[in-house]
Amino acid sequence: MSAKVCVVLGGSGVVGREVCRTLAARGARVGFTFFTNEKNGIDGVGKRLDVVDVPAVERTLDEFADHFGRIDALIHCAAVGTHQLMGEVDERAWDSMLAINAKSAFFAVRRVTEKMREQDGGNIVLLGSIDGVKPAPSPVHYAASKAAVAGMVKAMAKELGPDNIRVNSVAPGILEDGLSRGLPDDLRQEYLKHCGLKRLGKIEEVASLVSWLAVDNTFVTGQTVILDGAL
Amino acid sequence: MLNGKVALITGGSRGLGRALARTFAENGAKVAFSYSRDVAGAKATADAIGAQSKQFQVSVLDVPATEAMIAEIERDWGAIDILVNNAGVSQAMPLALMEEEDWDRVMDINVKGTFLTSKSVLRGMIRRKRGVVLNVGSLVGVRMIEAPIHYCASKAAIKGLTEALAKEVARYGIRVICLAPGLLEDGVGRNLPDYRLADYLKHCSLGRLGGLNEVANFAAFLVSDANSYMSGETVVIDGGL
Repeated sequence: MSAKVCVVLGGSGVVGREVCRTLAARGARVGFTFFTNEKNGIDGVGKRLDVVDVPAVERTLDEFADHFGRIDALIHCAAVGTHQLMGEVDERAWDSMLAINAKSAFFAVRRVTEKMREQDGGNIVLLGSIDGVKPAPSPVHYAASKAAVAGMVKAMAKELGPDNIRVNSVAPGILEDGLSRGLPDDLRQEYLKHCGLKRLGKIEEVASLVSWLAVDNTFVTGQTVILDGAL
Repeated sequence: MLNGKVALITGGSRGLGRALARTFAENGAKVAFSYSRDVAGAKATADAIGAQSKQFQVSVLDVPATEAMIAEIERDWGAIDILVNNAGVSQAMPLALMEEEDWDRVMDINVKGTFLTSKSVLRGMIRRKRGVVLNVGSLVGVRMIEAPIHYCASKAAIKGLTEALAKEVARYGIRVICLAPGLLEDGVGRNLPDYRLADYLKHCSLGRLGGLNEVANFAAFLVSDANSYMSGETVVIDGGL
């Protein structure tokens, strides 16, 4: 069996980098994009990309498809999370959050599935958050963007299933690193109080589930799988 | 993925139970399983597991026999790391024909059996402060689907039991997960009339029934150390219904 080709958008962030590393360790051929960070030292093909630039997203995915000859899995890890109360979120902040976390995923999936349809299907994994699916104190625009991901995953799974394309989301709770580091400490303490396992999630715990859904999955689709240590 | 783990699977003599047993063994686990009646099926499962297997003709409702089974497994192989509460029954029948004994049988095996087996296995897991319990639920326990009401009620109960048990034993580092499949190639859905099956497939995005191995492969990941932050979750595998 030839190695799976996996493309990771937002591959240089804390989660994306670990996803790239896990996929590469499992023998996948990895393409990834980065924006503010540089190439991340993983064994893969890196390209700079601003995910809110839709033509650039499409061009970059086409380049990956040309380079590898196919794309078996797309993983969308590009995300921002600013901790703001509603009064501090102006229209620009709202638009920016939704553009990076949700709109970019839509247009990336739209493009990559054109390729996957010509193959024998594929796997799509979008990074969600418990803020999009469980009641939790969280920035409203961030929760909206992650709920958009959860909604898209269901509708995409319905539309793309006949082409043997599976679409899922992984929704982590608060993690040890990454966007979670920007959270105020009282929120983290509150989380730990209610989290059954009494600890934050590890980046590699997210990456292992993402990798399974990207590489091994054949029948799970339309699901937002929560990883929160029994919150 | 499961190298060196000791797993106990209930309801191992057929269908998903056999697929779980085989897949866990392929992933390096030592697999013990229980079954209630089907001796020939149990032999086939033991053959599928290969060299190292243990089988027990033990009802999930028989606590003394369950305790003896656990004692034997742990004496010979060491601590049970993984329990899969897979034993389950259903009957296709409408409410009007459902008698109290039908209700009791389905609820007893599917729910009380899960409770009793979990309680017996968890005693050691709590002492050791490690372990994973995987409960086999069903799509009918989480979505509105036409299905026998006692079966639906039992699988919804499994979801609730999973959540409360996950909360209670998380403090010991034990994870509890519910895996909820849709209709599979083999199993309780086999008795569906053709028109119901066609309707199901029409609404299933991938347009096919789930393979037992597809569910078993996912289960092997879910109970593995790579999945150490998931607990209390009910994960659906249904091809996008």
